[in-house]
Amino acid sequence: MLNNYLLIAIRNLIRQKGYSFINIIGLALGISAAMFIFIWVADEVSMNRFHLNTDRIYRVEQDQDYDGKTYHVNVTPYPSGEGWKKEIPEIETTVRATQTGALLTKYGEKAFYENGIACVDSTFLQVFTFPLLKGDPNTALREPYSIVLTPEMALKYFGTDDPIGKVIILDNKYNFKVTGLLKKLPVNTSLRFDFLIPFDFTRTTGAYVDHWGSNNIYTFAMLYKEADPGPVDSKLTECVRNNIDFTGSDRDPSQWKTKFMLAPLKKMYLHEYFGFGHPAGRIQRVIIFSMIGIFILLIAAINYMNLSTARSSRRSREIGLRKAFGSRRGQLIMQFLGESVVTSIAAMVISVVIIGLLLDPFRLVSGKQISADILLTGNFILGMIGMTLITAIIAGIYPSLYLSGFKPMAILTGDPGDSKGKGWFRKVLVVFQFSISIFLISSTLFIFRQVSYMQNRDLGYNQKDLLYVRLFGDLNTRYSALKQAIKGNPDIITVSAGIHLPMNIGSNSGSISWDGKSPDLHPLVSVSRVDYNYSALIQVPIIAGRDFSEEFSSDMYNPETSSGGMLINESLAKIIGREDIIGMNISFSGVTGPVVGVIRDFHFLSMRTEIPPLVLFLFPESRMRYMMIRLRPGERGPMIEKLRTTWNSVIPGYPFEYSFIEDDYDQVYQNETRSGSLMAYFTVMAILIACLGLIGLSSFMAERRTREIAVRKTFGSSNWEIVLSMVTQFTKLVLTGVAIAIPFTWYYLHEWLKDYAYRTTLSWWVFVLPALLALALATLMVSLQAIRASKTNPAVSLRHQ
Amino acid sequence: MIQTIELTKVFRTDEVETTALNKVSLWIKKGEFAAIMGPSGCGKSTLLTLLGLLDNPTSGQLIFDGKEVSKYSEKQRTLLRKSNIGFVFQSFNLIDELNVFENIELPLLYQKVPVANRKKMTEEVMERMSISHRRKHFPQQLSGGQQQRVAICRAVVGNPLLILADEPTGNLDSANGEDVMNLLKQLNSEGTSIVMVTHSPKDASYAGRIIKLFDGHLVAETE
Repeated sequence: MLNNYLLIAIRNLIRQKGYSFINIIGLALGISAAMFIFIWVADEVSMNRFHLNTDRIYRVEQDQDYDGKTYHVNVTPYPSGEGWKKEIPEIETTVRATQTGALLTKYGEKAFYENGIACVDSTFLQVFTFPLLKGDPNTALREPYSIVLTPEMALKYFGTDDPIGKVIILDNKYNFKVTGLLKKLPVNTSLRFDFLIPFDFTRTTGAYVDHWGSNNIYTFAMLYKEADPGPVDSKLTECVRNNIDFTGSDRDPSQWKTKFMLAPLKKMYLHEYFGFGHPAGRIQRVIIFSMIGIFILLIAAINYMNLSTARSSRRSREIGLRKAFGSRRGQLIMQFLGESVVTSIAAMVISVVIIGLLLDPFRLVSGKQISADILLTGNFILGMIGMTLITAIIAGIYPSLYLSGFKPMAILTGDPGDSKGKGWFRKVLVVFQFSISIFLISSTLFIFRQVSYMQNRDLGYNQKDLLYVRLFGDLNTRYSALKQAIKGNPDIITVSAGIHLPMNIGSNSGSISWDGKSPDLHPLVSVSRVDYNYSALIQVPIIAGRDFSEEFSSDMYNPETSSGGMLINESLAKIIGREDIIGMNISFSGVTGPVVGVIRDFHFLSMRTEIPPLVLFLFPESRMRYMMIRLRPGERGPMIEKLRTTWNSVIPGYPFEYSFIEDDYDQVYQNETRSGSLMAYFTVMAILIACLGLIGLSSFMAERRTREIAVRKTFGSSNWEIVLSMVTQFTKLVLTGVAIAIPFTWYYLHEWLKDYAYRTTLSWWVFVLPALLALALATLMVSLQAIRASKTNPAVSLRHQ
Repeated sequence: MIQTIELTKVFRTDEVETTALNKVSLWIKKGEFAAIMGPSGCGKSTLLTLLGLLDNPTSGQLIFDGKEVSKYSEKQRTLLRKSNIGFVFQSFNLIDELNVFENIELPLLYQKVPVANRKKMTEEVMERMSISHRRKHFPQQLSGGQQQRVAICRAVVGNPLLILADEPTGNLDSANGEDVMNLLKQLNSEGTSIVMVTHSPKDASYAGRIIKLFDGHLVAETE
């Protein structure tokens, strides 16, 4: 019996080449798109789950309170990790981790700036499953100045030599001995690093802040196997409350509302968020793309459903016959499901080829490190088989129920009952396909529109021709000399420096106070430290007071008296709300001093957030991390060459590595751009599949209407009228799809926009353009079939019937 | 063998009610060859679908091999049908995707006949109907007469008690038609009951009894 079903299925596929092509290619595209999304989602979901102790590792995070608004922070104080471990019995151990920032790293003649140097507690290699190829994980990080590295770094510095025992020099002065060689890090870790060094190095560099109120580093806690994590959150908070030093703060300890909490490591990547509000994080993208995958598969399955049921009159004889000879309905259902399985398997084979061909572009667009080897992994093969069977069932179940329901007497009357209203379901499905397609096109267009809006909105400062050089390690000690050396250069308009780039001032603090401040007011204020001429450099106007100036020595931060002048932005001035703001004293972030000027607000964070209040301090060169230079407009090449020459004469031996701020700015919206591009690709696939379906369905309709067309022509209809009548039949469906898609799309985009403080408007063309596109495509596809149908000779088709 | 008592079939659409068969009572005996005649639309085909258990009557009784079956569910009818009734159609109704052997074998598949028997029975009937040489051919490769021969093979391969034939010569030229009628006659003489719907008085002359229908009524029976 099974043989018989298979035989019919395969012979049907071969005989109906056109339909088989549409069905197989459509399903293959659908399966490929869904598999790409599956690969992507599986990769996202598997993040950080490979650690043997993953179920009992947590990152400590906190909710801070600013005037009733919750601000979520993923970093913790330096000393709290050790305190928690001592005081909370559920905690087996804690691991602190932080990055050093880029450091010049040398071995012999080889010297590179390295960004991936992590300072971690010696427990790191016991808590996390990052196995060593060489060295002992229990002791590798115990000695000061020991260093553990990845195989990539070992190769980079030592070639094929054994790295163990070799000495690497960091920042030109610290000698680190290699004590461990890691195995290559798995791709699905969100904790990434090239080197591990002991956490105490942060004390050596002076980064360590021995204050329980300053949050700078990650702390991970591993609980005992049987421990209940429930009560730990309040114990974390209590421990910090008991240790925090409230002197010098205007906050009453009883008013301190910060809450610490354990965030599971396995959720860390997908659910991570930061800042005010509760943006949904990566999990939202995972859900959206999973939905898109399901939608695309559905669109492909609908093609199959529509083509199989539309062609049912061709099968009605066979069905009637089988029933007459004793087939039960269940047997027929199995037979038709078998056909969709055979079709889907054929589609699967093609989709393996499609996936193989598109893997490179996918890797590029998605930013995932996925190699071709994945095609041979058990998970992929299982996923592929699963996806194929699911597709076969979704695509096959409706046709098989529908076809098997024909009355056996159809064989005598030749009427499968199809004409009596069942066609409406096919129409519903076509409408559904187009609704989804339009939703996808509109959303993609809109995401790009929002990204472009954010990228092109006036930032409040001028990015153009603004070049920067990172002052790695001790390079900042040469900053003044450099500044002097390029002073006379006519290419250069302004030079300044800061510890942040103007597009990303990520530090903030809640410890602000001034005379007359309401005790209930606790704004979270961003902070940066800059050199003279910073506001002139980025071209942000001073709207009150003056800029930092060398004429006023009190402007400069004085570590002995913890005092210095401040530039504040408009937002902070508004919060303070006083007329006589210039010259008034503010205490902030451990510094007390007068406001010397107010600068206009500028976007120093992404447009997702509103511009926060900001304080700029004037700090000496030893604290600067970026030297920034505004070039005159014009050809950059020669100007940069001149700069390089000056650089090499002042700091010989250090490579001159520069970037332009406007080039880096695109990175700020990389997530949105990436999601948008991925979505664009999947949208194209969805539309392609939907169009294939239309070709199939309209060619079938044309075939079925041969006699009608012949009769119409006999009685004088023109070819054009026939084409028109067929095209309107389908355009009605597309327009219905548009009408249904618009409200849903509008609602979705409206919700999506809520995550952005600065957003573009939902303009009409975002909906009209996709609608026109869908309409044009549908008209084109159907016309091709209709024109062919209208050209048949009526005499021939009438005789035929 | 099969008896109908006031058998009635009404078709309803939204607006129209058509009585295709009106209180028809008749009795087909075992081993009989009956022909049903009448003008187009008189209810011949409807009667055949009811006799063939392809549909249920609106009212009246249908007694098949001693059992009242008019209220049977589709499942019960299928069970009864597959081992007792064979069909021959005017338009042959062979499955295009199956070859001659596979088409003939089809009823046996549904009767769950074991492979070896199935093969044997199919071979036998092909031999008997002289179509063995075409076993690998597909329906499109056969002449109309040959196709109907295959259809008859398929109808008899499971040794049914009754063969229902719906204008079996309607699509054939006279030589092929005669050929088919002779085959049916031969089957009847071997003991199979046959009920045949036909327009052709010549075909009807092969039958032992002619039942005439008009507008859904039974109007005459001639031996």
